[in-house]
Amino acid sequence: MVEIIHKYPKVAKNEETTYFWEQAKEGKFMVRRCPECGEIHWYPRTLCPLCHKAETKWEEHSGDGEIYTWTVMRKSPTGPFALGYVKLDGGPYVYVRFRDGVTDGLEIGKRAKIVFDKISDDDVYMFADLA
Amino acid sequence: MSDIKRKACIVGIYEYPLRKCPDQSIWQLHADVADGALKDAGLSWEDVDGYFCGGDAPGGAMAMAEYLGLTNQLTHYDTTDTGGSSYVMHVGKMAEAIVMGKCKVALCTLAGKPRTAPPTPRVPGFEQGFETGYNGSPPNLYALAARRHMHEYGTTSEQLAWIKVAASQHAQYNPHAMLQDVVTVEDVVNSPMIADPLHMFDCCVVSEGGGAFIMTTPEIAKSLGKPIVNVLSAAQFLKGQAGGKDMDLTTSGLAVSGPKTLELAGVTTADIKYASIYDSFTITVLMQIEDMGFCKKGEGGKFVMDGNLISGVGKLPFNTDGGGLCNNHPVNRGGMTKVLEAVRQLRGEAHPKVQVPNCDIALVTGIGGTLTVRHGSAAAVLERG
Repeated sequence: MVEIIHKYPKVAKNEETTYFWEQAKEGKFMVRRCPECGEIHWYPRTLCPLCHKAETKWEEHSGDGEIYTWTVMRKSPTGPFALGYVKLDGGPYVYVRFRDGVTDGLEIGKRAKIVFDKISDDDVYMFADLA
Repeated sequence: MSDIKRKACIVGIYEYPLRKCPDQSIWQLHADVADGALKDAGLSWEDVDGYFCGGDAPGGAMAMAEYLGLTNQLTHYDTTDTGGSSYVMHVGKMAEAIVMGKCKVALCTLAGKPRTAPPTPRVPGFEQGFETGYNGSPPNLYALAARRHMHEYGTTSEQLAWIKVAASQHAQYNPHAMLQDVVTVEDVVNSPMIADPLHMFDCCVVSEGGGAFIMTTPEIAKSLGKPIVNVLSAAQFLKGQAGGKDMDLTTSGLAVSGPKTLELAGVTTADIKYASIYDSFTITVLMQIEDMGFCKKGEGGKFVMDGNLISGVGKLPFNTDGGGLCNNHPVNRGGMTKVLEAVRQLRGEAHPKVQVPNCDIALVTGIGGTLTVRHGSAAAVLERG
């Protein structure tokens, strides 16, 4: 965890995602796997969006993966920042913003990982960082 | 065979002449463009019994119809919002409504003032917690596709720049175009980097104003004595993350809706004399050219080079009004102006310097929402009547 970052909106949570954000505060990256098709999907939801045959179950993921694509926004009032998609090991592609300050050294295929940073007294938010 | 083929006609169009509108309300702009399109068609407000709009219309069709004085006369109304592709999708939906007998004179409007105040964002869905907070803006998100396309196919910034060059060649003849200066490949690649690898000139303009079009039955169309534009076909396809499995950000939904539109119209890419290709960014155009089948996937960069999109020079004249890249992309939604320029081309009413000779078949495409997050793709084939 780094210092509190105040430029992000309050994290929108609902009945299906409160557990994810509670675990995120403990630094755990939770995903949902379908017992029927065996796949992890993203973003996490209850009915499997891939096979629609079963309710999915939470499990912890290492957050490790590799960069599928990325960009650095140069014209932002809050300074440059990077966005990308990270392909999780054994799992889905995840649209994610890179942790504040991570704008250099990004390359397709490079190892990356999901991290959580504190954005207010109440919330952490999900980011990626280079591994 | 398309069930709407030659059963509905576009008979009126209007594009608001200004690109910044400090003195008009959003509602007033909707009324003005509707009035302009009705006058162009030779129809009156009392004739309108179908109204179609997108998310730019505050409150949707019900609220906008009330402002426009159309309540108590509409037998069909439709608010569809897949961003800028909504108005291309409405070409199909209006034709279907007319063929089904739900209405006889359908009006579609778009208007707004994004340079005065940011447009109201779409109401977020479940993704809000996982995406909205990242503050990804369109240049970021389209850059993700450009980066991946470059990685997989060797596409270059210079190739993307040719798309802007072609648009600027056309825009120089449009006195209403927001950017009327001709630019070179060097100008584009030397313009400031906005979101790597997209430069400022890879991005469309942000403009105010709007546009409208009117569709009706072939019988009414013939009675108006104006040039007729037939709808041949329309198709749509929704593409997104699909649970995050098997992602391919180098292909748009048009890879499905595009070929389907051509098949329904009974035409091939070789029959398309003019194409209005949705141009929020240069990469948007390049991917759609591939996805439509004008060239193979990955060869779009070579296809757009050397003026191949310039009217009178290349094989595929596109966006002869200057497109969203140079002319107009009102309310950050380019679908309306795509329809309007295709109609001008089919009527022979484009600027003489960019009019395609014997333009009998035109394509219109739209990619709305966000290319790399989720988007509605739409395509329609129109024919000179």
